[in-house]
Amino acid sequence: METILKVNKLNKSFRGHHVIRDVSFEVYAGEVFGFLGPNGAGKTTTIKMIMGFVYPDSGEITICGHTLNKEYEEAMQCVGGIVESPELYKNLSGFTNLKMYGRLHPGVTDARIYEAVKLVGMEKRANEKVKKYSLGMKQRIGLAQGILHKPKLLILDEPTNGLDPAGIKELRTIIREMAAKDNTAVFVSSHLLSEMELMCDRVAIIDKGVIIGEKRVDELKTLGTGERYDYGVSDAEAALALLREQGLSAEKLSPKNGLEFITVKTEANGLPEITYKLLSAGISVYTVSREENSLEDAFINLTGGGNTIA
Amino acid sequence: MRKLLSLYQNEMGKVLRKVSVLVVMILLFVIIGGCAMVRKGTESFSSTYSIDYSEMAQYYDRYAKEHAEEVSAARMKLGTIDHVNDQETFVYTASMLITHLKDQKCSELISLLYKTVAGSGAQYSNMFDSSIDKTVTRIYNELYYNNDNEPDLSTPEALAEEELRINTAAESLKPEIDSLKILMTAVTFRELLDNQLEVYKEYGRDDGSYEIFNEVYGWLDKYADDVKVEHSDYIMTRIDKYVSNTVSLKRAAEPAAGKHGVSFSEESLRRETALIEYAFRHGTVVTDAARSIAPENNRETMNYLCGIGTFVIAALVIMLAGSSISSEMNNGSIKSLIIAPVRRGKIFAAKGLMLLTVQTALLLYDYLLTLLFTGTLFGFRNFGTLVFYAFGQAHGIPYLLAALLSLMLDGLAIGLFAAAAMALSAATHNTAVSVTLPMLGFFGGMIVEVIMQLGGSEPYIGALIPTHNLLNLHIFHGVPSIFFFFAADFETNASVTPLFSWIYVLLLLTALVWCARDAFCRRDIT
Repeated sequence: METILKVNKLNKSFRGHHVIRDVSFEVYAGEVFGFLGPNGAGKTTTIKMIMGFVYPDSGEITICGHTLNKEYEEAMQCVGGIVESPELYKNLSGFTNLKMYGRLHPGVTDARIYEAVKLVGMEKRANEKVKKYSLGMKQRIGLAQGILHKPKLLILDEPTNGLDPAGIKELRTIIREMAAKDNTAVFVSSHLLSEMELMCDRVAIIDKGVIIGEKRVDELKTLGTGERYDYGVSDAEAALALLREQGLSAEKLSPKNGLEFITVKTEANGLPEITYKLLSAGISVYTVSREENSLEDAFINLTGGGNTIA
Repeated sequence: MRKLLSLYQNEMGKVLRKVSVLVVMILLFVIIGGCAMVRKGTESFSSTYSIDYSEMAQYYDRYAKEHAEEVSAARMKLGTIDHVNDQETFVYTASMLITHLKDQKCSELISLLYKTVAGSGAQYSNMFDSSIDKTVTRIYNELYYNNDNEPDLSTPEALAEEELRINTAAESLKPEIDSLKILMTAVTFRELLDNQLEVYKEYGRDDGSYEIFNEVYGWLDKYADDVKVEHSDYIMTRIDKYVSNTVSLKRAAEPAAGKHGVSFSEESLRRETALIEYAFRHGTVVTDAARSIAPENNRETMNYLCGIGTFVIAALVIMLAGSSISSEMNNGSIKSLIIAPVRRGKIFAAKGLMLLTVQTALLLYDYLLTLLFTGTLFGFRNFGTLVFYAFGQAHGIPYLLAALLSLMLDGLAIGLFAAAAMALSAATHNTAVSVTLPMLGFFGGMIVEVIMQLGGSEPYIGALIPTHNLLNLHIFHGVPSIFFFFAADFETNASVTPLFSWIYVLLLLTALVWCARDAFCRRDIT
């Protein structure tokens, strides 16, 4: 597979705070690559480095074989995308915004602009001024801008923000089609696991500026799904040993309000049996609560518990 | 280059959609048109009551205000000058009255004045060259003492008859009277030359000025037969300057002289004499009309109106420059530029080119509007030639071209502050700061300059204020400063040279552009 984007040992500090540490990954032609992480993990900073907004302290970014800091224009010629929210010139129409951007890329004709506008479903509103657009409409025009010159690498930072469910579905379709038909490498960042599952082929997970794992989505699905129940018990260590002995997946949690807690992965119908076993072993159960399976759980699973997320 | 042009095209597209540009264009039209009409409306008033700082102009003003009565009183005064002790004063007064009366078309008074001149001249004919003597005698005889018996003027009829006779004679003698004026001027000049020499002897200084005076006198002698009568007015004005120089020289020789020295130098003398020579060579009158703030002619109106427009344009360009980067940073629209396959240096260059284009286009618009209004209201044909001193000689340039070049030089001053605004915009991403500080610098510099002008020149401080070097001369004195830039001294005659100014201004501009570019290109956009 052709490597379109290669990020190698990127580092970046802001005012002495090391926010990106040795970040490395590759994105291949024809795949949708997800960049997953909680807010503040370093997703946008990494994207900004790839797109030329922020200069890395060290490391190298190569796009389509061109090193960003040496062959900037050649490298950026292959890139299209949206960083954070798409900000356009509000006093100009969507079409004029696209035309201005298109001037900077060879071969972008008016016909191509209309094609891109149609693709994102904005053909009826493209001639209105941007200030009249909703957030979702701006997202669509932003996406049209990103794909205008048929880039080999499409970078989308939180692209579903502001889109309604129908819009999200359309976006997903567009992205998948670009990857499949045009062999475009799509780099998508998000903090929503479900979004990544539906959209991506592969994901990298970043936290505190460090890539903590890289998996295919089908692997992610098996690790990140399922229900979880938290037990407030009198002896967490004994409870943990008992449940693991029974072949259940359980972890110890931090104590809260003087109670020790464990968390158990199970279906709802397994609860009576677990509770019975704990009580039979002389371990008091004070509370049982159902918890949503969080992104952090997925991360923990992905990294085998080696890297925890606070 | 293609990408730079595309970026430039985008920047122009954005700025042309800004309401502020349209507002400024309308504002310029209204202000320039309005001011032109106000000046036209006050033209007659102003031309009569013109304010000029020269001694002679003060006389004009005084006499103009008091009209016929005062003129009559002056005539009587002149008539009583039997023994002219102060010839310098006499010639000044005579010249002043001649000019004034010529303007008023009072041929009667002119003839009487010439009669007086002739009478006084006759008594001091030994002071004059033989050619003057000859002319004076002829006028003397023709006008007044054409017979041995003085006419009986006891009756009104006889007086009227004598007046008519004198007027008729004066008309026929006009060429000779004109010639006399010139020669009288030459004599006055020679007198001053002698005075100057005495000053040098008294204070033990000889900086070569005497030689220059002598040289000028030679020109006067040489060209006296060819010049036209109006040249004498010009020469009188120049002599007025020499008198000032003499006074300054005296002051300089005294220990208590001003801390910044004197406004007298060999170079300034050379400039003056070069201008005189030019006038004689080309038969052109070089006036100091620009020193006046009254609309004496359309050239001055051009200067005045162009200057007003410059302020409005400066405000807009600084505003555009100050917001050029920061506003796009703040509203996020810079993103679409950054993700384009162009280096930031090109984005910066495109923005700079856009500002330059807007500024130049508005200055041209200012110029054309001014020309249109001035020409329509005051006439298109009276702009003439601007004479300036550079590289040791006087040169002439069509005034309209000079005004255009001067306006472009104003653009350089505006450019300095626009570059500062861009640098602040890129560094702070704060539009308010980026616009306000350069505005304060630009207009504050002007205010400081005005205060300095009122309170006495401080050339070393002034030299550090860009507007002092670039804009002030144009705005406040109506003199296209570009030409004085090549001259050896400023209005203040400071020891700061034009070379210093050029280097200072260009270095400042380069530094500001570099800072702005650096702030934009090297900083992270977070």
